[in-house]
Amino acid sequence: MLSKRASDIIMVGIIAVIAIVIVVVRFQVIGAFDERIEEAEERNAGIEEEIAGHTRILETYYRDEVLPGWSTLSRNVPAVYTEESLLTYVYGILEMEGINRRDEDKDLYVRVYENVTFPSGSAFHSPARGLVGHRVHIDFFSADVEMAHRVVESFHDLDHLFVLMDVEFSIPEEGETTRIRLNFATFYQNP
Amino acid sequence: MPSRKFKERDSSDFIHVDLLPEMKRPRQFNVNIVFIVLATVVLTWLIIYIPLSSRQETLDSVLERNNELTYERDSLRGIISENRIEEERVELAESIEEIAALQQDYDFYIDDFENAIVFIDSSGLLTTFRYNAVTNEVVIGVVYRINVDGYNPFRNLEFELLSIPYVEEVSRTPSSQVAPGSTRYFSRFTVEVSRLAE
Repeated sequence: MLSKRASDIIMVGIIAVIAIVIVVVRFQVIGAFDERIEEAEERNAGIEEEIAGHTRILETYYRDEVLPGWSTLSRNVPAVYTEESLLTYVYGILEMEGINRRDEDKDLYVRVYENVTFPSGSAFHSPARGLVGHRVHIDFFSADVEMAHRVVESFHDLDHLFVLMDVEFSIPEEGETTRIRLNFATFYQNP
Repeated sequence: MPSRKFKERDSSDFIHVDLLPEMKRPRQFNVNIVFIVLATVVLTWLIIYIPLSSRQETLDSVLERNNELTYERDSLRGIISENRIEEERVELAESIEEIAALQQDYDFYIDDFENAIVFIDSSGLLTTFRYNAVTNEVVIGVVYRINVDGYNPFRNLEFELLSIPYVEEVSRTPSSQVAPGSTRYFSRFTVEVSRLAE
């Protein structure tokens, strides 16, 4: 027969074990619930974002019917890229500004750097996602630095999107010429 | 069974006989069991049921919201699809719009910086110019004629450039003579500008 003291000890022990089991079960069950709630809330947040995006699309493009057609978009950001066609296009624009390949004084040099990436902090990074960007380097001599400005305006006025990345020149003294360096980013649709 | 143990101390002692039977005291143990069961129920209620029921309510409301949102999203998708608005086309149109907004002129930087250079000292000249639209940085080379010892127009120009609203930060290289013995000094300024300052 158990003494009263032993019986009390066993009782306290059993209660302690039960309490531990209950606490463990509590953390397991509540933890699982919390996880389900968190997952459901995350799903809801994702759906809310989608709804906001859809609503914005409908508000912007449904009522006003202003969504440009594929042909217009393809003029801005062509679907097909070849280095040759891009170079021909760039030379054509420069020629219209009086910068000719055959003009030795200008010493024109154009080169395309393909698949350019932009640093994540820059303003170029986000809009360029989902598109393929190429850098067009243009280098020529001129006595007039205003020429650089005219070239930039010409490229910015085109249907095909060109964005000035950087421009560099020295201010020439009277009767001298200076080297003008320009870099443009141009974009194509992801194949 | 009665206890048969006794001790003989002297002849006058009585023999002590315990006639009461030895009995177990099960009542004490039963009380313990009842207490254990009661404690288990109370603890379970307190520690598991109460928090669980509140979480169940939260989960129910979150799932209900999920159903509502899913229905709303599917309805919007339906409207978009009915109106033949392709999301790919929308994304491309928006990218083009964002990229077009990056097309920025640089001429006004030259005008503003030249004005600042001449404002500090009429002998000042802008000699080189570089604008980087990706890093929002303008680098200019400036030359001043300095005839008086201790006069530093470059420092004044630094403050003048900082007073232009779109200029965020200015740093410069130490000024140096353009040629040995010359009174013309050159310094290169790096000016951080805010985006779309135009």
